[in-house]
Amino acid sequence: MEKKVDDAAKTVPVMEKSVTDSEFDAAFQAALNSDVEEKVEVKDKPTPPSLNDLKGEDEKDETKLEPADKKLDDEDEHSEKSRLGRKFKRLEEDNQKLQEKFDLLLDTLSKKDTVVEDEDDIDDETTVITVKDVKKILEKHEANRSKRQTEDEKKATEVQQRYEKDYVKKILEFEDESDFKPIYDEMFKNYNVKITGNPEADAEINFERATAAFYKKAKKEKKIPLKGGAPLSTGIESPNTKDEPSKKKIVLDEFASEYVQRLGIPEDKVQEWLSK
Amino acid sequence: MELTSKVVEQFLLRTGKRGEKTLTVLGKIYPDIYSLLETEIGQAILEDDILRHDALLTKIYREETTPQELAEFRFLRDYRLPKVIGKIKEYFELFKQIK
Repeated sequence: MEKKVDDAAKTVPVMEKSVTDSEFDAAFQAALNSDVEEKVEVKDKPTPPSLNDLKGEDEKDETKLEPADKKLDDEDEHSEKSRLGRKFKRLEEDNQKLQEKFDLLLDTLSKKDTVVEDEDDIDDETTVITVKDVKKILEKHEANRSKRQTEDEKKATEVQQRYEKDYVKKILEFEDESDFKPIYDEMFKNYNVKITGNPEADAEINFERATAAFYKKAKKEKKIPLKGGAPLSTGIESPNTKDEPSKKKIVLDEFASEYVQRLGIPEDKVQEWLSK
Repeated sequence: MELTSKVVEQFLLRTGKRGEKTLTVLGKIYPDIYSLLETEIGQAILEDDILRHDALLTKIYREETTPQELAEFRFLRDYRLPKVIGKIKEYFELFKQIK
């Protein structure tokens, strides 16, 4: 029956191409007949039965169907049963395979957990070391440290020696200057300091400072030679500028101070503004 | 023409030692300027000099001057007025610097 329907369906596209009237009528009749037969068949066709229901239904069908049709139905049932049986078997096999995979997965996971636990155990084990090992490690560390320290010290000494050499070399360049010896003494007494780290610059700065200090001292100690002994006091006291050498007070001349007074501004204020 | 304390302060803070010199110059010129512009006699002399200069200029234009008048005009033109006006000008220029 199904074959007939298929044949009718196959004929339809052929008609669309090029058919004669007689062929068309024949095909149309065949299609009509197949439709009627199909409707009857749809009414008779049972819903796909489950395996449990198959036996009961078979009994019912046997009572209802005619002996001619009964033979055909038995064949269909048999094929359906065998199909379902194959399907069931396949499902069972699939299920078994899935079960196996699941078991395998579970095994892997459980093994992983045990491995982690084992690693923890190993960590615990490695922390246990003997006193001898500890001594060895400490000795090794100490040796490395002392080695590094000696290297650093060696480097520092080298740098220091180079600095001193350059420093002295630079100072000796000033040897031609007058009063070198006292300035040199003054420098090593009071101004021998490391300022920038650059030996030449330091030497220059220190020597200049020492020179300034030396001449300042020499100026203070200088006495005016007077006839007949010690210098006498003139009776005029000079203003003591020693206390405030940096802040020199600006004194306005007479014109400026007069002008400022005319403007009504106190002179000390002007001096204050000028000294800022 | 007044200089306030604030203005002078700002000027001196801005210029420092140079400002002090400006004050000195102003102080030197100021008595003359004061005499010229602030006193009655100064104003009268200045006015008289300017008017006399104008009158002589007109006479010279009309060619009516005597040799003495011509000499007086030259004195005013070349010595007196430039000196006075120069001082006034210098004073106000310095004044402007402060302001």
